[in-house]
Amino acid sequence: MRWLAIPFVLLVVGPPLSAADLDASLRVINAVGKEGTGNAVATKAWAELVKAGPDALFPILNAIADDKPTSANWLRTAVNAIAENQSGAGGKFDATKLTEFVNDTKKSATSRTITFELLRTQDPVAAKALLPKFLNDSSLDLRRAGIADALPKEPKASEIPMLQTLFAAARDKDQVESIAKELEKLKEPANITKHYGTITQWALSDVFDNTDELGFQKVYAPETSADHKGWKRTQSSATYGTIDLNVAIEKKMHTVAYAAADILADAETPAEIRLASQNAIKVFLNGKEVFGREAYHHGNKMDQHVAKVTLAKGKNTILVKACQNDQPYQWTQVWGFAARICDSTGGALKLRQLVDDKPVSLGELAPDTAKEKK
Amino acid sequence: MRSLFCLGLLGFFTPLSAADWPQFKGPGGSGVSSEKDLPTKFTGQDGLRWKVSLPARGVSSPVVFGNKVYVTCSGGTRDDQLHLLAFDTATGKKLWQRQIASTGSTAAHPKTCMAAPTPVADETGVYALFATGDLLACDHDGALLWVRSLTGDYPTISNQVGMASSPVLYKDKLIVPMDNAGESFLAALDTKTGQNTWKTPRPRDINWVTPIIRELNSSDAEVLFQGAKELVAYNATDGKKKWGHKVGSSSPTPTYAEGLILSSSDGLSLLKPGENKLEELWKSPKYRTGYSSALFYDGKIYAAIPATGSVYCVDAKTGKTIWDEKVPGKGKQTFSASPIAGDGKIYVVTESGTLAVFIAGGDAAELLATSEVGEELLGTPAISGGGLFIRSDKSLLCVGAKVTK
Repeated sequence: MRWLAIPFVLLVVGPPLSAADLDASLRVINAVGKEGTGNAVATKAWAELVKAGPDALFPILNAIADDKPTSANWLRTAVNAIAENQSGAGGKFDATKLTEFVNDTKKSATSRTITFELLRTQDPVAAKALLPKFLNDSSLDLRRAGIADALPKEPKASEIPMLQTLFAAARDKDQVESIAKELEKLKEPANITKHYGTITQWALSDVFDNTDELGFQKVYAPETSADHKGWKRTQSSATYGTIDLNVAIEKKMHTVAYAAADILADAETPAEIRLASQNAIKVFLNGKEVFGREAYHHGNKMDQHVAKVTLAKGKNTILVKACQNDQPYQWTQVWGFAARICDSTGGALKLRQLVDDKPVSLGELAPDTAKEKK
Repeated sequence: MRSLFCLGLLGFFTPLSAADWPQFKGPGGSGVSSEKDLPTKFTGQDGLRWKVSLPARGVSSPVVFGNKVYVTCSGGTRDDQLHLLAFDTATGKKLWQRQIASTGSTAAHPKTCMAAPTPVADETGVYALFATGDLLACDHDGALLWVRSLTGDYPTISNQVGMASSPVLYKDKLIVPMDNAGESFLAALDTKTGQNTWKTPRPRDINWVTPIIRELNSSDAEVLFQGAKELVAYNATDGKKKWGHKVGSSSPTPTYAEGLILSSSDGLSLLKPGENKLEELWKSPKYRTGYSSALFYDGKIYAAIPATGSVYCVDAKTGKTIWDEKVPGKGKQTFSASPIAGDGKIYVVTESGTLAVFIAGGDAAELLATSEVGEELLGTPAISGGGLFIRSDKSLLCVGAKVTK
């Protein structure tokens, strides 16, 4: 097909959208549902928002909700379009209002991050001035930017307290490791395992059958009983708490194993159980399945699986079901998992683990092996 | 009713005539352009129409529709910021950029990223799938058509190596491949709304292949989709399986050209579609193309072999090698991108950033020229409007004569 290209600039000028119309358009976009339901009307609502121009910016930002990621993406692209039109017309947004919005931590983390990027694009100095406030932000991107800005280039001993503050605040693995390295250079300990709320001590069940990968769906005894007394104890001294089941149990094919850990919470606590596993895995909290993923030999990136849970006051039993199949290749022989428990930002919670009826900190090792840990 | 006042400011340029390159590997996925007078090389600014910076990584290919070239990128600390950008093909001016945040996992092998699938475009707009399972559809002026989160809809979708299969278009349907370790399917989405027209279950197995549309007549077509164990033909209208052929490989994408299918599975095989089956014309274990798809052009087959850094010209009738030639360059050359062709030339880009141009056919290899982009090249280039569009992780460039306005 041959095309004649006729570049053009189309200027769209519209009267202000009434507050009611604006609100109606935002409601339509925030109502898009599964499998594209509501998309047809949302397309029209999106166009209305963009035509409304800069007046619609803050209402759109206010409407972006962290728990509606698809709608947030619709609205984010409306911000893109409005910002492009504004910039193309030589205009800017009110930097004071952008700053106020970013500083209002009651707004969603997503919308504050988008607003910060707008501010940084049009007024880098004003944006940089906000960075010191971000060290403990609920937005991981803002938090990261704040930590990066505060991090001394060649830290001195006098800056150890600052480094410790930044270490406690950091969530991204690369930043955590980088700050830990600087602290270690200054002979200060920085325990990454504890920092992440890693569960290092586990009780292991006997193994069960997983021939033809059917074991993932089968309900074996550990899933129906809270009792894991007498199970074999194991622990990981790896930084991120990886339990190598080929070592802890033995190298096996077509196998299911269970690992249990008892976590103590002082009060009912919203939490996330985050896992990494090369293979199919399920997680149960207090006897209830909270996560399952049936995939084999597909990487084990930190935090690849997340189960959002609420811990009960007192003892909570986390049960991990780890499956292995027929290991057709050398690289498929990995069998194990790592798990941690944290808040929604990925930071450790004030929890303890019950080991041999004694409460210990998460990330602790049994005394006889603690000295192995580097 | 609100009144809107629209002011159109039209600037007329000298007409730029271009054949679209609307999807992964161009028209019909053939990798072949019908254009003439295509460029051969560039040195510095000489022969370079333009070069622009990209905001983030991407191993997807650029696509061209009308006077716009579209590119996807992904970036951010968690590789969770997903971009679709439109540039003017004549000048490289950025026309618009839309950014969404990932709603799915961003785990992947470090060689790839979330901007691995190539977008697809037609008169209605441009449709981008990301490796996170996020879909972004815009019209050609950047107005949003719709957004979908496939991992929001089907939460077990997972490919920790990183997905790369690209969507294709058939009439008003966006054909979305989603073979992965979780819920796997091939789906047709209504381009107007993004809603499912049909959704057909597929084996739970990761796969990096892009489907092929095989038009049978003006109202009937098959979607040919190869997986690890079988190449299956689905009815494009309702998604029902029509037939399957036991030839399989989860990478690379087969090539459909001149009524034949070039498939990689333990080497290369040439297959002839018949009535609900495939006939194998020949098979050779010699041509192992890795991630790169073989090319069918003017009666010859061209295969870029990563293990040797060589380009092979193969007799399509027999499967015999006519010539092979190593691509020159600093150090060992290898390929992720697929060779493409037009104007009697074969274009190959290497991972280390060399653009090599061979004369198509002949009894012996004839290397016309090489040019150095100086950046890692993993995506297959695009040809349109007398230009060769190449993208790296950092830049998008157009090799070709400047366009007179």
